[in-house]
Amino acid sequence: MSITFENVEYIYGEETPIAYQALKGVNLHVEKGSFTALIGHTGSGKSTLIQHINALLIPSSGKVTIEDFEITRTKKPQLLKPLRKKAGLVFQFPEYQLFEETIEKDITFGPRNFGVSEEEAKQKARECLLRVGLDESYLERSPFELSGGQKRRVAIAGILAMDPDILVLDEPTAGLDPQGAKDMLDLFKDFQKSGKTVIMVSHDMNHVLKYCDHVIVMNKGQVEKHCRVEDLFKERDYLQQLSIDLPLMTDFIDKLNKNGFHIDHAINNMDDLIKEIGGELHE
Amino acid sequence: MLHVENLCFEYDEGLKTIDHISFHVEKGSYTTILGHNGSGKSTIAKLVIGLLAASQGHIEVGGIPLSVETLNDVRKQVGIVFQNPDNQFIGSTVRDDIAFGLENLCVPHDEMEGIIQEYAKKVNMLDFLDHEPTKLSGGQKQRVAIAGILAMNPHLIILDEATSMLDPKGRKEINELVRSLNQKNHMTILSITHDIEEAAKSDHVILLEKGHIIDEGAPENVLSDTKRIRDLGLDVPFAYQVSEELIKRGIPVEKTLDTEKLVKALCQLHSKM
Repeated sequence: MSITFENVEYIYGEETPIAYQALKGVNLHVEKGSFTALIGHTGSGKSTLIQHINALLIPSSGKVTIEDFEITRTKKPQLLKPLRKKAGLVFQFPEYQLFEETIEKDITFGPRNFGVSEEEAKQKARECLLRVGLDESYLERSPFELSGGQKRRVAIAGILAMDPDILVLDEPTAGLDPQGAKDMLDLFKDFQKSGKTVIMVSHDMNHVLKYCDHVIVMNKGQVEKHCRVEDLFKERDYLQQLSIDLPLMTDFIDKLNKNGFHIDHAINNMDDLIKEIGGELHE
Repeated sequence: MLHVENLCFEYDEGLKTIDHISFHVEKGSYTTILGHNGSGKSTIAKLVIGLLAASQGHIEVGGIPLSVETLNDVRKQVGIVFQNPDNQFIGSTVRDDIAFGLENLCVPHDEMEGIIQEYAKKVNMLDFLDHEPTKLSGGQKQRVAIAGILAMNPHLIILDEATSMLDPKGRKEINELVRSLNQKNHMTILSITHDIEEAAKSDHVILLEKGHIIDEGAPENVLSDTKRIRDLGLDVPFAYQVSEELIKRGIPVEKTLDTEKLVKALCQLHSKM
């Protein structure tokens, strides 16, 4: 499903003394099947933007279109329910939203809410738990006795169980250990490979380089840049100005190239990097 | 400073989260406990400050054995900073929040303001004393949490993944602050982390897996086995990964943790061609 923003503005506390404009004239088009990183400082509008994608927030003015759903100020809220099923939003620290007695009940809650039969929802719960790397023995356990990383997996399984076409993730790997982070990111990559769309808020440029194809930079409520990932990392001055560090790999390539190497800047994985270095040394 | 002997703890009967652990944290040292999520790291922190009660074993902080009777004396010596500072804020302003711990220690009111100023300055948050803690950025929040702990003048600070939810800039700020507390103020630091770069810079590393200590010692010894580090679900430092892969392809470089060194070695090879 593609995502389009046309002239979207959002004001918190509109027509009150504490009114605050969080989005200003946002225009955006995210292709179906892409994996887009959303970056920018705290307060730049990232969270406000993503909450428009499943209509948790309705634009103060302008229009958001998710495939054939139009979200505008005048749209009746009850018409938006089907959209909520299609666009799964995973907040930061989703483990805080777990609430049921057992993991099975927690994961089936979403699908049951959208009218899926109990049998089918349980089947889905089993599948999704496996996808996030936990086996069936967890189904009957309480989500509250798990470790932080395991809770995160259960929370994400709960979103996957609704079978969304778009996955929107707010810093999904914060607080996870490196292996846990990699497992999660691989899972999202697989989700994308099945033809679905992923949007991920991230601060980790190593993740952005390795997993994402596009990147959106937010600044002061506006989309400042929307480009391919490799193009962003070419703009050293711009990144410095935003105090964003280069990914370790890009930085390493930079250092080699300053010393006579000619390695392709867009490389985003270890195999290619080693091949290129080997190639130059054996020429 | 901290002495732990034969410690056991289980959340569920028969499932030992902490399984006969013994270790020692030297006064003035920077010790890291390294392990993946679920290895029992945070449980150790909670046991040390008596938030959880061990099923077996012995904990001694600054010479005081931890028991129900000594709980308050032990807690006076230990400050703990958790992963998510939001869980730790009490006051409605930064000033009130730092004051909270002081009030509990019965610090006279007229001394309080001076102490608050001193520690807010130390963490570079002096301009924010009247701000609401919840409206600060992640790095700022964590600094306020640390100021609140420092103001109570603990001998030992435990950081329980205190930087894992911060952005790279916030993480850098906190790591520098903690390092200077250790080096300039000789504060004993016990950092629970999965950041291998932080562990590499500490004095002593304890490697934890499934509630057991599988190795401990100086970082260069404990961290050199990259296969084990990977098996534990931790990251191998980037320069180490690259040098390892290059060696596999027959390129004559040395294994190193240092990016600059690796760049230099490769450039020398390149210039000889």
